[in-house]
Amino acid sequence: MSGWDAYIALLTGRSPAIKRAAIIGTDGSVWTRTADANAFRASEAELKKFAALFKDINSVPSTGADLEDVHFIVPRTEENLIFGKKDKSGFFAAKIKTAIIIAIYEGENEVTASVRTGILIVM
Amino acid sequence: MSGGIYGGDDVSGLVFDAGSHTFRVGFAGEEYPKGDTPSFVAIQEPEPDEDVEMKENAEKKTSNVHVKRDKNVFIGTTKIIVPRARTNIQGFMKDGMIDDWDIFENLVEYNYNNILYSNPQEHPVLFTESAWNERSKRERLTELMFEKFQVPAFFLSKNAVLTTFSNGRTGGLIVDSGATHTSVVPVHDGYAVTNAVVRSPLGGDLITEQLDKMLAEQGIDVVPTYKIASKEEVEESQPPRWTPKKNLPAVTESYDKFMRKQVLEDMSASILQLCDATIDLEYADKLPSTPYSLPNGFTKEFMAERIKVPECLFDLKYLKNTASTGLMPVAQMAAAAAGMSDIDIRPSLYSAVTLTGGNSLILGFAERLNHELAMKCPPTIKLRVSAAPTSTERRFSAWIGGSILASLGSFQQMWIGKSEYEETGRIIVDKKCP
Repeated sequence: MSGWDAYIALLTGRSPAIKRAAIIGTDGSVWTRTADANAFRASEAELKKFAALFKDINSVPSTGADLEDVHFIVPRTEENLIFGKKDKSGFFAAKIKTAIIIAIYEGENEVTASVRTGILIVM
Repeated sequence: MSGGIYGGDDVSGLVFDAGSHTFRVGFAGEEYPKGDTPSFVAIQEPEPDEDVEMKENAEKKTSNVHVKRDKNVFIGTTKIIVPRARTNIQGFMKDGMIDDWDIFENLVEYNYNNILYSNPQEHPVLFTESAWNERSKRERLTELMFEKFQVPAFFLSKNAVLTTFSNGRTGGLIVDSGATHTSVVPVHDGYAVTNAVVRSPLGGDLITEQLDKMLAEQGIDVVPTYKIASKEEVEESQPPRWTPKKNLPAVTESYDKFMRKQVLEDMSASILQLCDATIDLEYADKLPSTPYSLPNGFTKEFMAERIKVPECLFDLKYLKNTASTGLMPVAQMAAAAAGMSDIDIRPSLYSAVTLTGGNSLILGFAERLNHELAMKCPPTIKLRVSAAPTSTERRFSAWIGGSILASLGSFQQMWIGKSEYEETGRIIVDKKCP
């Protein structure tokens, strides 16, 4: 398990805007997450639902996505990538073969580029 | 180096907004674009006789001297309207996206040399694109700008998002009625919801076609200006008296069509109007008439037709002799786009419906859209349709938004720098330009 933590450290190190992150399996189970004060708070059930969103990615913008009990608007999806926003914060979730990397960030639109590069590097 | 060195005041960025009717370019930070060139070029084929002569000589001498003269390309309103032999008028946009890259390159070069008087290597460039632009085209544009024009920095932004910025907002439902089509794009927080975009090929060009058909039905002949040498004043609705120009070169069909379209466009801008509410034939008959004189001297007071022609935008039943498959009335498009978006953002979309595009300047468009949408929305939703008052703001709203964006301090870190492009290749546009 500790191997996965290194990826999390890589992600948070890449962009200071990333506040919480996690890598979960496609079934919703948590492989690793940021700990302590920045603990990734989503529940198992929520993550299961979230993972299922990737199955029908084009319909996600019409419904939005929920994480940590917060409803995010999804203005943009790409192949295996969901980008959600809510006021000043947002998230990027990218799906790779057997896992999903999620990064929750806070900040204005400009920081999204660095968050996104961060995710792509981990991928 | 990535964007950090470009402070908003130091080096002025350029904003390019390519449309199907006109191509807008200018400097970031300015109020209006410097150049508003038609998106058409006149391409003159070389003399066919010369090729034949050359070929004959080649066969006799069996040498490989076959020099084909290059085509002549003419850009800019004053040049393309000149009647020339063997000259075709061609556009470069199709479906809201760049289609003919050679013509596009010519236009960009023309703009740099004759309108901006700038060296491409010195200015970062912001380009606009439609919300449904294809990935391959975005990458090709990025490659073209960095490789051929050697720009120092580049960014691609959706024109719907820029329109919201020019209105001082970060979101809204953008209804863009332009020359070739009308599109509705929901924008939220500076991002276009690309999955909920609705578009239909109903636009200014269709209106001019309908006007043409209406005139043909009434037996009115539309003679383009280049054919007319002189004309005499006649009474209203009397047959025109004019003399044709002598010694005109043998112009092509595309040129003639283009010149006729110019007359029709002027006519539709002058006389067409939209009914405030759903069309009422009694109201149409009582409408005050507007006179219009054609270039050949023919004058007529137009009455009910003024309202019937543009009605096809809102009610497809008024479309004459054209298949209405794949077309949708404007209000229905707006309701559909909002319906496809996340339910949480729908109220913010309806309260900020923004009308833009040259075709939306038809008198009565905003009021009619307001009325139709009010009928379609649930009564609890606050509906507000805003439209820029001046014609320049409507036609240039995407460019103005680009000018605002490119001069923001916080935007300077978002440019794709040349070194980033060289490191990653053209796919960087997908990563950095949402």
